[in-house]
Amino acid sequence: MTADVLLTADPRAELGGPEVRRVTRRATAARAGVTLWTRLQEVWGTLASVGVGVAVLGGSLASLRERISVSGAPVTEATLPASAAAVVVGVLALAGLGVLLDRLGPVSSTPAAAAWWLPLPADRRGLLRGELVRITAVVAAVATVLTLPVALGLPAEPTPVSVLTGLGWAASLAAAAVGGTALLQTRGRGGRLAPVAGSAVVAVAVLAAAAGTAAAVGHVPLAVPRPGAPPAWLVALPAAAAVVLLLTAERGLGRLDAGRLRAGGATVQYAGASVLSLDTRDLGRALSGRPRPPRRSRRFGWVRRPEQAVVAADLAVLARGRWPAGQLVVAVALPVVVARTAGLGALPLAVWCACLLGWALAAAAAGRPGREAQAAPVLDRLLPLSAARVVLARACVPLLLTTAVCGLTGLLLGIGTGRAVDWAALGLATAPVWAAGALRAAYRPDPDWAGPVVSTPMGILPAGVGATLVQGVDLGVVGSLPLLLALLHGEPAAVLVAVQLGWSFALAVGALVHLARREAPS
Amino acid sequence: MVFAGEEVDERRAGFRRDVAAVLDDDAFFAALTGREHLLLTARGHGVVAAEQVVDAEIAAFGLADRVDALPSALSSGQRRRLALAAAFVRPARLLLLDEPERRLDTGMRARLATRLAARRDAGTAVLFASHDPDLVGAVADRVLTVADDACRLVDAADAAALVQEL
Repeated sequence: MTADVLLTADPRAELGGPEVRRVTRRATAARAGVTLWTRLQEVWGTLASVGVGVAVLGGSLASLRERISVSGAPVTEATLPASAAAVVVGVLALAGLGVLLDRLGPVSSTPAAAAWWLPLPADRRGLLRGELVRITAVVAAVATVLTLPVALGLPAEPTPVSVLTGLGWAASLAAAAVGGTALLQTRGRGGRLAPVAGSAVVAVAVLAAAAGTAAAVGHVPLAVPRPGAPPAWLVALPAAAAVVLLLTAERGLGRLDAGRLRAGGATVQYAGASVLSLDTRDLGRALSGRPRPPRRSRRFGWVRRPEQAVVAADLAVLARGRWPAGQLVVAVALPVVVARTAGLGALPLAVWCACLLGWALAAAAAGRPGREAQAAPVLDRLLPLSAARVVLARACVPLLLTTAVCGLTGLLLGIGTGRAVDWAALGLATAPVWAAGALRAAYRPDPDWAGPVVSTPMGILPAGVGATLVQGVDLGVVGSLPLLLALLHGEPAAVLVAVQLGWSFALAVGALVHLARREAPS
Repeated sequence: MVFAGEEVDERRAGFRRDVAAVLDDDAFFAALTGREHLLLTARGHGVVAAEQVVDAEIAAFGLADRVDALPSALSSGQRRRLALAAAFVRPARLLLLDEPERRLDTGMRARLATRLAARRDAGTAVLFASHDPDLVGAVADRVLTVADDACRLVDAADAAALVQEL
């Protein structure tokens, strides 16, 4: 091995950050083999898919608005104005975006960029500027596309100005969210926004649910001032905030250290692979972050039997998770807010869907210990328990949690109707099936890509993967059908409560037996 | 931790200019060839006559036949040699290497030891972790042995013998 070329370097000839990006991009493009025609085809295909999606969603929302306008009496007393629900949805969307950006960086480096770009003397600010621009553009574009069906479908008479204003708000707020999280990242405060955003969602949801329920107790609709539609020029405020935040964040990009950029890039890669493989369970693992460090070790003094050890471990996992408590609170509040909202509350299907959404969230929280056990089954195997008995023992904590969530939801929905206890009983009766659903989702097999595919206007849909992904939620949806009947009927008749309990119990037992057999070694 | 009288901070361009590290990363741009990776590194550091320097290192690391292939078409040993070559296509005051002998055949290990010793003699500090007694014996002046019970500073000959016994 000899390399006798004299090694000298001229700092003035070093590549700057943008030049490094450009050199890499050109080398990549030269090998991509993408023609202008291919690019045009891709753009056209994307536009067509987005157009179909926007039309379908916009149509659904317009149909929902029309059904609200001709709906009859509400299922339960509706005391919240629609604007309150809109605020809850807005906060939910913004907080979700904030959590996502905070977990992913938002500025990060792929492993390749971390290995080959970051060690160069090139100015890091120039190197990462393109990344910040790219993330901002992607997030603003996605926010715009997602807002388009809402802006087109929800107003009774959408005008070009109202639609463009709505899109402007969405894009500006999304860009401001990127700028804000990037600014926190450059100040060394990355990773701290997610808990704040989660707390904001819990606070807003609880506030709205509590206000609606309190007003129902007094049978007085909540009086909220109606300011009317804000003037279109007001969109300049979030746009200006976005510009200021992004420019300030850009100035601090040079302060980001390679270790954090590399770690963020690894999370992005993990999450991206989970999205591409449609594995929501892995996506949750990628985004959930590390568990809360315990103040002290638990002594588990009450544990006498192996089943109790499983329950104790599950409770410890839940207690140390950063999200389960908030998820459970939002799971109760969400159906209550929808049912108490004027218009939405008059649609039994909407209330039922809100119950499904909330309880699916509760099942996801309750299934966390199961998901961790599925990922690392070795701990369960340390116990003198068959796989079937582990599954049964693991159902205890989810049953406890779904009983609390479903029962409380039913009780709060029933307040003001004079039959709160019956509604609570109906809610309680759905708990077993959601507990079993939580375990079914946690222990579901990996997506089956070998299954059949279905051609749709949105592209090819792998049916085998879809069938795997819905495992858990499918059980909850089917098991909650008697609740839908009660909502359509307008009251929780005793026979429907009995049917709900029997149906839910039978499905839960069947699912757990199936799961226990599948987990048992053959 | 201090380097050249200043706190270690890889965010400073001067630090990145002075320190070349080859750690455990096996990450490459999927669409860039091995030669393009090396040229990016050399040009990024403002190396004079970058193409000749890169050609010389390609030859020195035995990559001439495969250097225009994409990383996915290289074996793990070739990717390791490519990563090591990147540390040699640029000037550095400190070479930081994590088990540089990994995935190299015996001949390449010996030639790498010679190159590292030459760099050391030319004034470059070389800090490396290794389990290879020959590499330790050929390159190291001072060795810190890291064991479960204690860390000891020993001379290179003793360290090579200790590594041999592992």
